[in-house]
Amino acid sequence: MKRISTLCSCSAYASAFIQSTNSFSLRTLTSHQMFYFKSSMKPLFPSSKTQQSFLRTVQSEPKIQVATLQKNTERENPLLHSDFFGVKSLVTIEDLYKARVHFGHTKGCRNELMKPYLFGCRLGTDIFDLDVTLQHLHRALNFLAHMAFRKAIILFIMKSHQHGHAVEKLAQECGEFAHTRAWGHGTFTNNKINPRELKGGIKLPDLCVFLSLQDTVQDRHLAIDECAKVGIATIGICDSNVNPSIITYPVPANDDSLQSIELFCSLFKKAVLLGKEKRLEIENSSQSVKTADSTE
Amino acid sequence: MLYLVTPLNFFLDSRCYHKRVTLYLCNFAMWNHCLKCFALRNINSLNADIQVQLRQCLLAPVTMVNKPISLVIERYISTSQHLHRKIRLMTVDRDNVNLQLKKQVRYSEDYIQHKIDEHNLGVRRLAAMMGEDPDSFTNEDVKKAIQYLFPSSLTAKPARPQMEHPSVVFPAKIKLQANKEGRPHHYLFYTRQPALYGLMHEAYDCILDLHSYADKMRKMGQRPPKPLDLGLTHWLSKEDIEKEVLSSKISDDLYNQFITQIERLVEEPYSEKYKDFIMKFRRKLVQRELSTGTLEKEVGKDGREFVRCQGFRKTARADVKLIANGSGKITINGKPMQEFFNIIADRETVVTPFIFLGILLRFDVEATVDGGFQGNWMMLHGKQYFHDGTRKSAMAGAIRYGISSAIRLFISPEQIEIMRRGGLIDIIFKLVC
Repeated sequence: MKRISTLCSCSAYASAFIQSTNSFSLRTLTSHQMFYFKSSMKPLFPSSKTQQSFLRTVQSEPKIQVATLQKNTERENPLLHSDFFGVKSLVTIEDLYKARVHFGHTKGCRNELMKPYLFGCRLGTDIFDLDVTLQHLHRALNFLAHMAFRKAIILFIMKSHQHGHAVEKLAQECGEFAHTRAWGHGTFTNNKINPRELKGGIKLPDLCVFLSLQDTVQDRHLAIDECAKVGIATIGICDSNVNPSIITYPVPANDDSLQSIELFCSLFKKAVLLGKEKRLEIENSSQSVKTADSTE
Repeated sequence: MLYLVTPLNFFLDSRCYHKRVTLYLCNFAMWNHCLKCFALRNINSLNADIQVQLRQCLLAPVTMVNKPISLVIERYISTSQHLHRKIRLMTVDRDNVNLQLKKQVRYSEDYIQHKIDEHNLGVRRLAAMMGEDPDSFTNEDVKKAIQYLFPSSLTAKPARPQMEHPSVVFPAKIKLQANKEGRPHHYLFYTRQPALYGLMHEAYDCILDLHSYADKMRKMGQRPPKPLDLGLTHWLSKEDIEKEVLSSKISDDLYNQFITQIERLVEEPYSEKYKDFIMKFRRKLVQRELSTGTLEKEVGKDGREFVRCQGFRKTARADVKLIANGSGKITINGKPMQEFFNIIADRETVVTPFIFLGILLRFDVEATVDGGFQGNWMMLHGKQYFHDGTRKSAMAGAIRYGISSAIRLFISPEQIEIMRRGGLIDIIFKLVC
């Protein structure tokens, strides 16, 4: 019971946000894909049928009218804007390619649920479809920026000896939180472990960003299930060997290379800072309006 | 009358979630009272959300007469009674958001200072009562005085009369770990050990910095310096870290992780740059004094210094006289060592301190020993030995202990520390084997 009480207005905002953005139109798949690979490479499945059916399911969802949460007659509602923070200009497909984001694990490690996101398999290595990755990444970054705009508590999670330090640094520079150590079982769900900390005062995070869904090489991170139980939205970088089903905003991409992790850290940082900057802008402008009114 | 009754009928219909209902309370006290009773009697048939708000309206004093008190059903969640109860408890919980702040305000600094002044005055008065000097009245004296003045045979010690310092009675200020909106201050708060992991993060920052510095030096052609010398220090123990650095307990695993991280920093070349950071977690080695009493050097007839010392092992007792500027002669009970100890292992035991320090032929030893097992080992244990003779291991051990205690006066503190680590000085006296 008390766990539910720690959800702030942000998560209500989050669910409204998620509903509102289902109505954007997908870009059709073009010969962009062929640009990067040899012509001899065969895609995993005949591209036309299954990809189109995937597109159809997304496009057929109806537009949902969202009630305006912020009553501002002077300013436009950020929720109704398709890209309020200009997040789509942060990254291109070429950046993703240079950062080796398209490399998945080997064919044997593949999780069947990741099939829709894979372009194909080359010499035993799964390759992500970067067009699809980019769309998911845009959605995730947009959501992240909106949450930062609404002063959410964002927790960056990555249990990796190599990259833990980079993620902690990212959190420090954003002004958000990080957890790159061994996950204590029941951090979110067990009220007996955290009686002083989480009772009457401190909130649970509103958003968890997983830079890798794995805990060790074998196991899935425990925090994913805890987030789902407690109702915390998640963004997750899903490699080809993980199960992306519970993640709110999956981003099918490589989570093992140093370059790809560095790229994602910089992107997340930029998105969060964009959201916070807009917040300050709006607060300052409203203050100036107030002072103007008072003087008059 | 009729007009007043009809809105109440609306309430009784529990299906009307989304309707805005107003209840008018009129001037007449009796009528108000009747209405209230009627509503309260039927309140359990309504859903929980409405119940709370209705109760709040009806049980409040009717001061705002002629003002319509409207109950607005604000949020429709579901029809489940169970969930409605949850929501009601949630709303109650939200009101206690600033519980920590409230607790803190209770023990403000002025209040605690006032209590401390009171306590000090009380202690002085107590001293005067007992006829003691108020300035030198210690905490122990206070406890004794209270026990004398208020004798108590209660078994539970906390229930007995006490006069404790306010810092013990009032809990230390709980540091607020979050701001008013519920956002924690420390960026590693959700790891549950923010202080420790923060230090590990700092250590790794230093390591990365030293990597780049070492690369620069290598390009310039400079050789790496000698490894960092930490001196006679040791790492903080787990208990020390729990007390001084953190405020909470940690597991052994976590402690080991922390120490390995800082040892990695120590191993880096050019780590002298961060010596201050490293030394925060090091403590000086404390030289432990023996409980055998003070030993003094005496000068003998031939001008050579000597030291008298006692040693023991099991039930054997030895009086050892260690003479400097000797030639390695060892006499036990008037006989030379080779005669007294038949078995080589016993002789090795006696000579161990000298071999350990590398000073074999520099001292003479005169010892008298008695005690320990003086029977025939072969008969006792029933084992086959390849030599004839009796083993006197207890006596040998006693002499060894005597020599190693006595030799401390002739060697440097570092060597004493090395002997202590070798197990020659700190010996736990075992009465039984």
